[in-house]
Amino acid sequence: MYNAKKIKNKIIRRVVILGSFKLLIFSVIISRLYKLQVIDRQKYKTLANKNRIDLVLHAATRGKVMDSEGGIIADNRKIFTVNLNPHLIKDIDLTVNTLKNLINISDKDTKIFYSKLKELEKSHISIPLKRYLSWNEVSIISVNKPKLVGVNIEFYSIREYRRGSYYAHILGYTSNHFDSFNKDKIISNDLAGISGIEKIYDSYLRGVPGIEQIEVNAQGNYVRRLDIEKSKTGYNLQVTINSKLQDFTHKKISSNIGAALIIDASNGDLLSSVSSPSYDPNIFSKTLSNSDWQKIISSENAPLINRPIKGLYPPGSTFKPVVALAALKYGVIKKTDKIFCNGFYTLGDRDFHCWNKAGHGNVNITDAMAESCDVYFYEIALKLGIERIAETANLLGFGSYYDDFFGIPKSIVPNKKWKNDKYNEKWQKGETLNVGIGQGFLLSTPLELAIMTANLINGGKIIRPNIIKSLPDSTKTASPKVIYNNFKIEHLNIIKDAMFKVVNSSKGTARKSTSNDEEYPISGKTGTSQVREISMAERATGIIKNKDLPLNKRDHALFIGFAPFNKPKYITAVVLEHAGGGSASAAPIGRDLLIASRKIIEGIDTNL
Amino acid sequence: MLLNNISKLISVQMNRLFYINYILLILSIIIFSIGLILLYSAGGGSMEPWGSKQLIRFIISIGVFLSVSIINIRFWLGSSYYIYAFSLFLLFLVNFYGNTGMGSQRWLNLGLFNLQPSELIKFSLVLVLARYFHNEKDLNFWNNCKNFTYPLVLISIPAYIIFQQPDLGSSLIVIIGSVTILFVIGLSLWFFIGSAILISILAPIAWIYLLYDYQKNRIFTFLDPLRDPLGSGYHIIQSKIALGSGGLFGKGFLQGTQSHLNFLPEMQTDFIFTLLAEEFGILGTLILLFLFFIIIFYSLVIGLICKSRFACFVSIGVSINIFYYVFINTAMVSGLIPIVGVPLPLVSYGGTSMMCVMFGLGLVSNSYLFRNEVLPRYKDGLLGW
Repeated sequence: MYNAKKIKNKIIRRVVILGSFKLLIFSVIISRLYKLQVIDRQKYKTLANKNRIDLVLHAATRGKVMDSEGGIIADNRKIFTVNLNPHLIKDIDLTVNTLKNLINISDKDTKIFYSKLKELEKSHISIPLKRYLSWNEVSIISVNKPKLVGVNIEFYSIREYRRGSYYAHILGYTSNHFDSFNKDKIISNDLAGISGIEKIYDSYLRGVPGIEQIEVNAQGNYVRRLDIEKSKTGYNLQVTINSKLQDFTHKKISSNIGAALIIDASNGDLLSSVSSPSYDPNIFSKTLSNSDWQKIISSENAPLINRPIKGLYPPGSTFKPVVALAALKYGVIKKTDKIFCNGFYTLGDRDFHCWNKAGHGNVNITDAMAESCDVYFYEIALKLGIERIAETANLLGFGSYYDDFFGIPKSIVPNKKWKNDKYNEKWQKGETLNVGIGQGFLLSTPLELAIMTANLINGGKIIRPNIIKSLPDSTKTASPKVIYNNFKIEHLNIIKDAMFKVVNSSKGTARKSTSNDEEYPISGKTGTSQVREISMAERATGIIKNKDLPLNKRDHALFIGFAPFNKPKYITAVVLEHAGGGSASAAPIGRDLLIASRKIIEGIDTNL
Repeated sequence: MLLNNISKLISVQMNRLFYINYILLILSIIIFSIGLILLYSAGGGSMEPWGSKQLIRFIISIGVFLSVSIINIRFWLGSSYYIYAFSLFLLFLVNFYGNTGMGSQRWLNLGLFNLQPSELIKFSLVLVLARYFHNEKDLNFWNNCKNFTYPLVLISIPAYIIFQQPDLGSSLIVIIGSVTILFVIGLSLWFFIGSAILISILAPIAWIYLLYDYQKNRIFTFLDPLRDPLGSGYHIIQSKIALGSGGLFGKGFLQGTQSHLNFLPEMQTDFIFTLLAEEFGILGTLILLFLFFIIIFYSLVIGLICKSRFACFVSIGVSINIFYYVFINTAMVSGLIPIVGVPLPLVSYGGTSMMCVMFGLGLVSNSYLFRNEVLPRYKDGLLGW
């Protein structure tokens, strides 16, 4: 029973089993280490680097913007700031107070600094305490540098708009937050485009930020700088705007509220585009005070709106060429057909009035356009119906999207479906009459009116608006394919001739705005769009004159024009809010703009 | 006469120094040196705060190793129960006067260093189990109820106290280590099969009534570290990143980013293996594992060549304990098992653990020195197995 040898042998067997078990465990551990340290090492190396490496992005110098002649209109200016590096400073309050004793730092600056400090905690970014340092302040801080650990003077870029308010709406402006977030990463001294070209072409202008790699510990504290990669300056952009023409346009309409633009008839390039009133975008480059901002946004004239592109106006009689073209296209009327105007048109139990109470008598399409006879257009509009008018308008560029700068127009070319969608109501025939004279639901932008004009008078060539001369990566430099619309050239010529008569015939509504220069004849169409409804009672007692109305009830004055007649080079659209009649106030400005275009771009004077 | 006797006794002891097992000593010095290099790195390229302290402790531990080696094995056989009782007493003390760390009471502050009795008990248990079975004529557990009950009581008391601290890891090592010793001594395989069935029944009950929330959390975290990456999952995620990112040859001495940038907590104690992996790659970890492998298997071999049961069981027991230390520590830092607080022997910063391991290795060396000594059984006076 008791057998020492047997027991010993059993123990040896058990030790062998134990040894094998240990060997097995060792090989499990080693294969685990092989998996972690050999097979997956790259994955864990990446994770370890992600743990310890933090990126700080430094904004690149923003690209400049130049006008068509190469003159700089948006530039960068260096300013000095005094910055604090929180990760290098032990007692931030003490440093702030030391600086306060040296230079004048307002409570507002201090407040902004502390809120930034809180927001950018652990970002290892230096935070400006005071901006726009004078040379004197820079030297005071430099002298005291030894006792200001973690404080340094830095250059910051701010945007400078050389022509101020003249380019405000085209260029837009940039934010001046001095830093912005990009995929969770903060970019210091980053200017972000907020509106206009600064916003739309931000990706070109902004360049590529420099990347600084810093090592941080588990608490997120700065340890050391590992690497820094230089930033790449943004692209310089050139716009199609001619600064001299822009200045001239601005001066012409600055006493009014409204919009004026000139486009190149051959390719749609914007040569000038002015919105009035304007503002000075340079104020956004400084730290904008709340009251300044309130002043801008609460102004009833809405200076921030870019009227030529975003402003919505009933086009009034400037829409008549569209209706006339549609009528010709669909054979509703022929060139020679005449309609009798006795001053009003009756539909059902309602009278629709012509602007001329006495009536125009028998008018054909050319006369109707030149004299802007409403009754003629009531009749052909009714024959056409709203659908065909709307379709023609869209073919001429209304409601078209071109690019992000011009955006998606909020303009309205109504049709039955539109009314049903919007009001859930059936379309009324009377509403077709209103659209026939450019009133009613119809709303368009000045740019649309200019593009419509270009599409009418260019022999059928479709024109797209454009503001950028060239983009670094675009195929635009190659001449774009010319696309023609489907209108018959003789129909287009009838409209074009009629627009000539508007200015150059004795009965034309814009006859006072002729150029008297056979080399450079001006053509166009006036428009006066009602802002208010004229009541029956008022018609009975006599329509109140515009000058007797409060400003915001007065009519808008519009003019679309082009010159020279034979081979149009320049197209203009002028809209003056509440300025009364188009022939009296808008047409003369339109004429001046067309003459100035020729003078400024070709250097040729025009007889008046 | 007395002086003469004493000097003779001393010279006998000193003579034994020539015959002790220097392979074990040299291996432990090499392993300690690796640990010292890592502690130097963990201190940010400085012997402070850990390296110099650990070096002093190691020098004392070498003294312990040598003393334990040369004292007559009969002394260890005779004092096994006293050592066990003393360790148990210290464990009780911890429960009343212990210092709290990591949410549990583990240390006794002895001024010079913090004593962690749960480390000591692991090796006292080896001694007491070896002593018990040395004396039993028959190693058949099932024929003798006492043979089964006594060792179970000897194991359960410290295991329960440590579990109460609460230190699940140490408590498990005590149980698993002792059971493994019982296995070698001859515990029937049916016991293990029975236990496995019992554990699978009791585990859900233990889960509900016995485990603390932080212990449950560790198990959850082990199963899915990403469920709380900044909380309880943080250790295991960062530990694996440190291990893996070391790659083949490591980031270089003092170049570990996970450790030096504080992503790795406890890098000088339980997670020191990851510091090794990060700075010296798989090359470093394989070398260290190989050294442990030699120590563990060498101790097993020593156990087998001993003439006495006591020496045999002691060597095998120490080998088993060191093996579990290494296994549990490396497996937990590499994410194979949940995180339990177990140091890497001779490498992790800490006095008690190192002192106890050196004490254990001293016992192995002692067994080697007295390998041919035949110890009589007290009960029947019989010699041999």
